[in-house]
Amino acid sequence: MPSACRPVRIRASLTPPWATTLRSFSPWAGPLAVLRAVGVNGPVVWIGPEIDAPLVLAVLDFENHWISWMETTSGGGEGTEQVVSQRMTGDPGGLGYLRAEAISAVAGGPASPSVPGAWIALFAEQRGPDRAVSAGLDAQEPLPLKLVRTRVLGNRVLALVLFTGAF
Amino acid sequence: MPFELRPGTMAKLQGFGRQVLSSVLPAAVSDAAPELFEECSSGHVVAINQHGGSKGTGSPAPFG
Repeated sequence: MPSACRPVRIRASLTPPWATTLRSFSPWAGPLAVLRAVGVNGPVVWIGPEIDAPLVLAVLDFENHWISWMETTSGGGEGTEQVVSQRMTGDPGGLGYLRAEAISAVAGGPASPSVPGAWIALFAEQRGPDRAVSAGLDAQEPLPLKLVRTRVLGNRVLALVLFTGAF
Repeated sequence: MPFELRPGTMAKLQGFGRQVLSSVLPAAVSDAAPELFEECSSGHVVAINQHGGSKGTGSPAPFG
């Protein structure tokens, strides 16, 4: 693992468009930690709590260059990290990747098949705000189509949002 | 799920949060899959009218 005392350059093996996106982080010029896991097909979730830095960039470099990554604050201890931002490139198992098995009916059980007007619970890593927010049920006021910048679309049509939160 | 979805088709489901758009998940759309939700305080069933507000004796769904 690289030392926190010296910046580490991101591997040049990344190819566009990922390399283009990564360049946007260069102004931070803070300690960067790069973790390379060749041949790993799992999700990108790596945070370096052992690195005493205000901002840690975690990168998992796949051989096929399909990567997702997030930037986090290192926090005061394990489990106290705050996600600053994240990037999702559509890699299966990566951040923001929707899976059929991670969608359920609000009452429990699978949500398939979907039904117009049905309430579903949609789980995806780090989608909602750190502090969960619930919209109030009101006879006159409709539920919002956007709740703390969280939106859900079905065929590009916005759905009503009752609750959103990170997990 | 939006009321505009058409039963018998495949819907494209997508989420947006933290300024990141998720991948698109195809989902089969069916006619009906009834679920009942109970309001804890009153014991009444909770339902949402098509305009997005909660259903009640003072706010029934429109006829037709």
